[in-house]
Amino acid sequence: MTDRAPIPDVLLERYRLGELPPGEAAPIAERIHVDSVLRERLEALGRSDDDLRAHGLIATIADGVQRRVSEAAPRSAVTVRRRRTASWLVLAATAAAIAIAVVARSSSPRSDSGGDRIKGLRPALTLYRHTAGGSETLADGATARRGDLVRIGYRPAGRAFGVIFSVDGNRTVTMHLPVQGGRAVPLAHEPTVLLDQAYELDDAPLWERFYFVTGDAPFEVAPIVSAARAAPLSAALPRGLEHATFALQKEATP
Amino acid sequence: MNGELDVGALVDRYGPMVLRRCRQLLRNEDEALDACQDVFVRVIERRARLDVRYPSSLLYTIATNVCLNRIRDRARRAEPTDAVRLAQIARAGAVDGTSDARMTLDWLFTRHPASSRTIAVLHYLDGLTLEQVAAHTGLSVTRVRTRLKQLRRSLTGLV
Repeated sequence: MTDRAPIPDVLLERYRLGELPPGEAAPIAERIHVDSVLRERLEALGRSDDDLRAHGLIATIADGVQRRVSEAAPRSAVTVRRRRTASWLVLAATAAAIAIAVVARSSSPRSDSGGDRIKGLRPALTLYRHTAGGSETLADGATARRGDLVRIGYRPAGRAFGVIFSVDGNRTVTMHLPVQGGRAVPLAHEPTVLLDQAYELDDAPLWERFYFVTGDAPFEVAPIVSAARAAPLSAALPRGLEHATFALQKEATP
Repeated sequence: MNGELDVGALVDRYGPMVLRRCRQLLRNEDEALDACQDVFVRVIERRARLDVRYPSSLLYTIATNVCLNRIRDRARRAEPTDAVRLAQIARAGAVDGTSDARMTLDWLFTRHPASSRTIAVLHYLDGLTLEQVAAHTGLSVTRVRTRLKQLRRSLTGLV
C-alpha cells in the first residue's frame, strides 16, 4: 500500500506501451517495486488485454476499422493489412506473461552491481544518418524515413555485456548487436563504439525504437526482446540489467 | 509502399487501451465498440499529423473526444428536464462519488467547446495535472487553466 497519489489510468496505459517520456516513466518504474496496488493495476491491465483478445473483440474492431477505411477511401494510399496470426497472439501472451512475472518478482528496488562502471556515466545510444556530405547526428525522437541509412553507436560506460536491437511500428524486431545469437556479447572498452554495419530503414510505419540493454554478466536476449515488444523494458528487466532507448519517428508519407 | 499503414498492427497494439477508455466513458458495450472503431478511423485519416513518437497520447485524447461527442448527442436526444437531471445528480452521489461529477460535466458539455470538455475530463475525472493535460491536448498550460476557469464559472452558475 502507499499513501501517494494514484497514477491516472492514461499514464499507466502509456507506461505499459512504453510511450511515456522518460521523465514521467521513471517515477512509475520505481514505484512499481514498492507499490503492490500499482502492480495489481498493471497486472489487471495485462489480464484485460488478454481477455479482449481472447474474446475476439480486438479482431472485431480491426475488421470494423478495415471495412470503414475501405469504404471511405477505396483508392487511398492506405493499404489495410491483417497482421494478426495465431503465432503473434501466442507470442504477445508469452511476452506479457514474462513481463508480469518479472515485475512480480522484482519487489525490491534494483541495485547496480559495482564492477568497472564509469561513475556518473550511463550507457547510451547515438544514431548517425548518412547524408550526401557525410553524416549527421540524430536526436532522440528525430524524424526518419524509408531508405535512410543509419549507423548505431553506443557508449558502454563501463558495462561488460550488452545487446542492441530495435522494434518498429509493426513490432518487428531487428537485432543489431549481436546480429545473430541468443546471448549478450562483450562490449568494447572504449568511450563510444560504432557498429560496423549501417542499417537501412524500411517502410514500417510510426516509429523505430532502439534498445541498448546492458549488464555485468552475459544474459539471454530472447526474454528481453519479447518483453520490449509487450511492455516498457524498465518494468520488465531482471535485476542487474539496465537499458537505454533511442526512438526515430517514421515520417508519414501519404 | 510509402504511407502504408498497418491497421491490424495499430489496432492490435492500441485497441485494448482505446476500448477500455471508451467503455469507461460510455458505459455501454455496443457503443464503446463502435466508438473504438471511430477512433482508429479518425487516426488513420489524420495519419500525416500523427505524433508517431507517442501515438497512445493522441489515441487516448481522440477516444475521449469521440466518447464525449457521443455523450453530448445522447443528452441532446434524451433532453431530460432540469428536474430529472438534478434528481440524477442527487442519486448518483450515493452510488459513486465520481458519478455526480460526471453528470454535472455532461450538463456542461452541451455549453462549452469540445476541447474544454476533453480538458475537464482529463483533469477532473482522470486526475491528470494541468501540465499533463496540456501535453495531451497540445494546448499551453495557461490555456488549459483558462478553459477550466471558464468551466468552473459555468458550474458556479449552475449550482
